Amino acid sequence: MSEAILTLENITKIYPNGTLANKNINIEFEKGEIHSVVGENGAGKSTLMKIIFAIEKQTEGKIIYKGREVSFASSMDAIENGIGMVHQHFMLIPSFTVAQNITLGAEPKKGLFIDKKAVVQKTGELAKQYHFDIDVTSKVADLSVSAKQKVEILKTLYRDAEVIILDEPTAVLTPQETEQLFEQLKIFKEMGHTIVFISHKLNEVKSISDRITVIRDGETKGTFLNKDITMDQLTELIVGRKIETSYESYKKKVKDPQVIFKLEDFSCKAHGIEKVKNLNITIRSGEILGIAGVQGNGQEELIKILTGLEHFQQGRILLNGEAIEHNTIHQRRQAGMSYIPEDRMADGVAQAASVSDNLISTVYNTPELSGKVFLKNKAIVKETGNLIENFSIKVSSQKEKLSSLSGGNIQKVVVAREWNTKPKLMVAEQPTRGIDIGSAEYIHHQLIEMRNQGAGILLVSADLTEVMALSDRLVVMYDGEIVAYFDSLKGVSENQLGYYMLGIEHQSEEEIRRAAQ
Amino acid sequence: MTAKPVKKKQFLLTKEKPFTALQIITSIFTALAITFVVLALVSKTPVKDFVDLLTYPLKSRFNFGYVLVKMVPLTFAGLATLLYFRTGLFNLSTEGVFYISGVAATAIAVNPSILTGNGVIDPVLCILTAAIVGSIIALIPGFLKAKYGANEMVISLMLNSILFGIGFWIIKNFLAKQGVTGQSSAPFEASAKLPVIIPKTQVHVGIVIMAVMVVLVYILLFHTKLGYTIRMTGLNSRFAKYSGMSAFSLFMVVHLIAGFLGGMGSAVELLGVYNSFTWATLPGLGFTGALMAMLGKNHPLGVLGAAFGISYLRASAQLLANMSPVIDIKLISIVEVILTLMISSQYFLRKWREKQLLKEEQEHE
Repeated sequence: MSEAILTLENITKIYPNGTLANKNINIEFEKGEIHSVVGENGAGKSTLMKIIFAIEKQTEGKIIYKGREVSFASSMDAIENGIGMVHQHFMLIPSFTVAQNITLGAEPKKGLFIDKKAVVQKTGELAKQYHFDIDVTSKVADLSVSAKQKVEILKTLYRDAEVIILDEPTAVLTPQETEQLFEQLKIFKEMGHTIVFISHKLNEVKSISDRITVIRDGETKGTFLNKDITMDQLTELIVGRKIETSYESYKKKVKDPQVIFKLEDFSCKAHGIEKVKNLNITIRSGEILGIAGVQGNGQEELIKILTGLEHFQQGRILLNGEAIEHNTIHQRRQAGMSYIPEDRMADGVAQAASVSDNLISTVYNTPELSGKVFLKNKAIVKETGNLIENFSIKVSSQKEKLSSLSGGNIQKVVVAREWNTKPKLMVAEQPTRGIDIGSAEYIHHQLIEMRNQGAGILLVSADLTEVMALSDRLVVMYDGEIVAYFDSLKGVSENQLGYYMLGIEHQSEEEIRRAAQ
Repeated sequence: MTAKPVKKKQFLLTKEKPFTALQIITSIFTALAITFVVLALVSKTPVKDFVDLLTYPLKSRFNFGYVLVKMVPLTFAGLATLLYFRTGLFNLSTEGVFYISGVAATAIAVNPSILTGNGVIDPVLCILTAAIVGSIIALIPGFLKAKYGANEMVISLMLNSILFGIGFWIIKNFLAKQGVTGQSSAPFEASAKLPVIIPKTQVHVGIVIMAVMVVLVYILLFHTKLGYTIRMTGLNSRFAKYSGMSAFSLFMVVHLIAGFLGGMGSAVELLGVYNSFTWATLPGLGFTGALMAMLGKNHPLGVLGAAFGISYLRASAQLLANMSPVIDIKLISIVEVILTLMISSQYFLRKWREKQLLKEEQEHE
């Protein structure tokens, strides 16, 4: 048994809105191990890591680091004491070079000035020492997602991190990149670093960890040696049941499918850089078209423009045969478009408003719910009551503030509202990111149901498992272009998609053109 | 329909509404306590002064009436500002709108050739003129914000100075009594004044108009489509945009209504209390409106309560100022500032609430 470097004792965290995120958590991280913390989205993993890294303060409990009880004043304090964290969202300055980003705030000095040579030299040596294949003089803006992640990791190493926390590091990576990351993590381990690996992907956790701690509903369900526990046992500890990986049996054929949506030669630029190039896509009623791809390959820009959040630039957008590219958001919604946004907290809801207010924002001005001036409050109560029941949204009352709901229930509110306009085209962007498995499954079934009712669905997701489980047809986007098209997902493997997502492979023009048929 | 089992409702201070009430009550007590400390430092009879301050308005009918008179302009300004705040706009132009609309009302009220001499029609004419001028003026920052995304706070503050300059110039050059130099207008015609409705007090019919406006703003906010879009835009403008609401028309309408309320409040105040236009500086009522909106948590009834509370103390201090060497209206500023700080602070008492929530959770198990 090796020594414990970081121990959490009875950590409890309660948020001001009453959410109990962590309940009496006890975990011991040992020196030189890869320790995974697994649990569903919303189980309390992220809160726990924020507490370790002093972004949040625990309501109760102790953190013991290197034998001493500590209470870091800030993340800076935690960093100085040798704890590093790689966030899901990178915190880098795009216009700086790799070396500048790594040393930022702790640059080697020559008198009063930054020693630019030493910056490059030191970071170069560091990268070599840890076997990172990266050019420290290149600009971060030009790097791929996985390279940016490497920069983040190097940042922690440069500050002599002994404990490195990686929060869902593989969420943005392709299978191949994930493998590479794992090789690297093993090197760190051999050099004596402690790796805390946060994930909800069990196969990855199984392949990399020494020990695994399971968190469910804010509580620890035990810490296990990797070799002592099987995948099935882990699954059961995490959710208590088996997860579905295919929805094929729920899908029904729609009679006489019509073309609902067409993108023709769609392109757009942002800050002078071409983000999407000549996209051609067709979606028919009763089908789900998936867009797979590593985040940041143009999906976001595409969706923003086609839903009307950003200004249109080039090409054509046809909904039911009519050009909608210059229509307002209101007009697009009238024409039958619905949208589940990626950033549900920023775009999809008003957190401080009631559940009821959030459920009617797209239908409040229909004749059923309002007259010329006044809202029909009785009808609204009835309507929202129906939605809450149909989508089994857990609320204590319609007037409850939305922010007091769990992530899964908030997303159900969004889906229920978007479903309620009876859309012809549903744009679903990362529809289940960050929510619990139960709600995610529920939302998947709702999407399938809409599909079976004859809606066309455009599904964008960075989660390969999700796009593969739901899509009827699939395109892969890389660097703003479609690099692969599959008219059926039978026999397609995650690895195969991975090669396209990385831009290593590219289908022929004819094959890709079939996406527009 | 949903037929959920009704849970027994428990009264808990940690619930949303009781907690807000607790915050406000604690804030009031703290503010008063600090006032007492200040009094103790400067007065020889602090206890008597403090008790006087808290009870003087109740001592006579006139005194209490004075409180009611004072709260009328505060409520109007508060209602106008709360509409801005609810929409997510930090617009302080109500100050300037109050001034210039007052000038507009004066222009009618001193002019016998326009007035009819009828005691009902004349005030209505003045008030409507002021309200319409207020609307038009408020549209300036409204349009700049809606069309060009200009910062409404900067614009509204600059606008206040400009409006004051223009208004003062008009008063001096066109509306003053001929042959008299000074900073006031000619006296209002008797028919334009608002009648007193409670004998032996100064309480005028404006308080009824105020009450109607409170109710109308309440209905507007919570029972109309426009109110719904105002609330959603204010809580999350990205969400409102995503849902298909148009920010441009909303901003224009909100400025229009808020300007209308501000102009109305100005005319009501002038015709109810003053005999001529005597504001030689910006009257400060618009800024107090922002204070009312904050203290009243952007709720029309809250604004009404805040206006009453602040007016109560202000009236008391003003009435006592003649008799006491230490009590002064400035003393009340202490209360106002402390209240605003504490009530608008999100973190006040939050730690306590977290602890309580934890306890409840543990008892639950």
